[in-house]
Amino acid sequence: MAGFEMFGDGVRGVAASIREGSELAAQAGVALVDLAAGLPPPPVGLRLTVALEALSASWANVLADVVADLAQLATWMDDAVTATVAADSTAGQVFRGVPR
Amino acid sequence: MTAGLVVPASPVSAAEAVAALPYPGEEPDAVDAVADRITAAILLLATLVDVMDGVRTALPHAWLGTAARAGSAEVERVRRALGDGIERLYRARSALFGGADGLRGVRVMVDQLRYDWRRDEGSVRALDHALSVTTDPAQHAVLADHRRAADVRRGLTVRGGQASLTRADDLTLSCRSALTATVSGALVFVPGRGVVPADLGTVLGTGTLVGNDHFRSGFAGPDADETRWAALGESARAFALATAGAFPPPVGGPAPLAAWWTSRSWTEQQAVLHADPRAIGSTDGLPVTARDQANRLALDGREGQIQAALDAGDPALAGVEIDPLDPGVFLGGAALARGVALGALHREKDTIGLVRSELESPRSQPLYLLDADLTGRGRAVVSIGNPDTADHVATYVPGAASDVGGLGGELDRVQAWADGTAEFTARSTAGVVWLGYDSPRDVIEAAHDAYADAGAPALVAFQQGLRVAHQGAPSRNVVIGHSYGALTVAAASTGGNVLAADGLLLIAPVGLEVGSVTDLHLDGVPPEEVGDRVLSMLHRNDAIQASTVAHPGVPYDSAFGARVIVTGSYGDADDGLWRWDLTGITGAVDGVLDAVGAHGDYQQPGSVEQRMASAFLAGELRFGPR
Repeated sequence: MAGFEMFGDGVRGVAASIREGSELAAQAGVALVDLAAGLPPPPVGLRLTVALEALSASWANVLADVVADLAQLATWMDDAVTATVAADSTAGQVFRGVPR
Repeated sequence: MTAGLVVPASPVSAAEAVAALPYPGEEPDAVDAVADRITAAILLLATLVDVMDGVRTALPHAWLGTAARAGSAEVERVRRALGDGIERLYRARSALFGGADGLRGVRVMVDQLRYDWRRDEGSVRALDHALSVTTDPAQHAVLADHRRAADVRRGLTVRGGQASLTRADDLTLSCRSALTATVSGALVFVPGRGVVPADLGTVLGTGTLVGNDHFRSGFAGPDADETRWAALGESARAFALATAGAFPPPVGGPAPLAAWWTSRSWTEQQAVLHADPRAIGSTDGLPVTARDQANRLALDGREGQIQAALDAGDPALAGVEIDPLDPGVFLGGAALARGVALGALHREKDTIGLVRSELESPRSQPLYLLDADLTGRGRAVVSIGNPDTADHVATYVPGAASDVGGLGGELDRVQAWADGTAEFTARSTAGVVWLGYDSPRDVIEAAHDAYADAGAPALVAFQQGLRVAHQGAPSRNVVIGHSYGALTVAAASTGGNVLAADGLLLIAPVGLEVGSVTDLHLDGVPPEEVGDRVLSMLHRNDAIQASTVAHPGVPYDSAFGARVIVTGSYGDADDGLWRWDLTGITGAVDGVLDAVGAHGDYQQPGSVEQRMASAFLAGELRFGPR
């Protein structure tokens, strides 16, 4: 397997860390969901609602992407370990980006 | 933009006036609480940064080569995005804390204003009283001067109130601006939107992460959605559910529900689907693939519930409650009632097994479970082929005595009609078995139209859902009603109902409650064309003709106005297309009458009945002039 060498248990450990990272990103996302909901409407004056909704929506998108990205990365790493054993896999190829 | 501060006009009591003066702007403690939530997110993301740093360090020791470099680059991109993102969150947090502090200052201003108001209003009232009782002109003049001064002070206090509102609004605007700046970047050109500030994903680069792109499109296979969902952790699922919002939304009808669905990300859709698969599986207008996935999940879940109830001998575990006030139970029949309930659960479990077996049986096209409620006699809607992508969609409504137990036979029928369209067109056809209503159990019950009327709304909604969910050019949708099913189809097309269909195929129909095709309403079909869009088909010797005793409308009578085909007597040799008279009732064909057998046999592959039905579904049946 020219240009490709891994140490299975080590990679699996890294993959587990990345999965943990995906979960942390999701927990941060939950903290930022619907920030405007906690603000009761004031009797007079302007509100922060729209800006907070934009903040929540923006971070929901960003962290959803990070959550999915890290989940995919971890999956690829696990698959790549399998690929080492099974010689190859589609997922492993995609991850490596190296045509075979 | 500053809203007017409402200051009570005199005459009001000073106490009332003071009490009515509101604090302007957001509640500072609530704003602090929002900032605290951002702090919590920052701490979590900081921990994530630590994890990413650890990964960055560990990866080269665990993995070498091109793949490792690609992985490291991805980790680096996430790490960099997090660093920038955390800095932005800190700024948002500071803006909120600053805004809250400013609003607290405004509240101090308002408190002072209330005090001043009370003082000034008291002065004015005291002076008014003094003026009313003073008779000395010199003293009156002095008091009048004081009164004018007090009035001026009170006016200044009112203006101070206005200033506090302005201050609160300025603080809010400043905070808003700072918050907005944290989630946007430099101006960029976006096709279709023009020059707009870059969104946060673009600024941080998370919108183009390689792994994210592959996560959304890289999984393949029949269980791709489940596989991808399984790759997410528990927190990730909770996050998706939190951002998805409640389902169903407070809007009704297939189109708004479909719009709600498509406005959600894949992860959010999956979160909602897994949270309540029955709700998604039974919602008309949602994509067939999602409904199928949801209904299969619901079947698995229900089977697990039932098995737990049977194992424990407790029907309540499957949601079946035994009413203690039920006379049978009250009189000492609790064990009997529990036994009956457990028996029903056994039957439901068997029905689930039957449906699952049918779904796994090989067919000409993939099978989709579009609805399933298998309690009692059960209801199920199953499609052969994907109606969201097919060019033609046939919805088959079976008649009396049909239930989920006969699903296999009903699938055979609709498959024969759908597959038969290949003789007439190269375009695809999906066939749906719609067991979505409680049909009459026997011919006695079939004398009543109540079953059809009760089932009509669900059929109307289902057909609307097909229109809404269809992808690409609109499909040609035909609803087939067999026997009593024709009565249900007609009920869904009358009485204010408009059926989303391009044609109706009434096979061996019972008599209807309507006397003419002019009473049937199909969406997009002008009333004058409905007669040519409704086809009634009948074996000459089908016993169903006697049903007009109970239901007076005769769909195969020329007065009804539909196109009518009467094929040869069941049991005779096939007549062939050349024998059909498309303008009316054909002549007799010799043979032994088998009235009962005739009623259930319109789908034999290669038979004139099947071929005629298939030609109609394909829109390739040409009628002559009337």
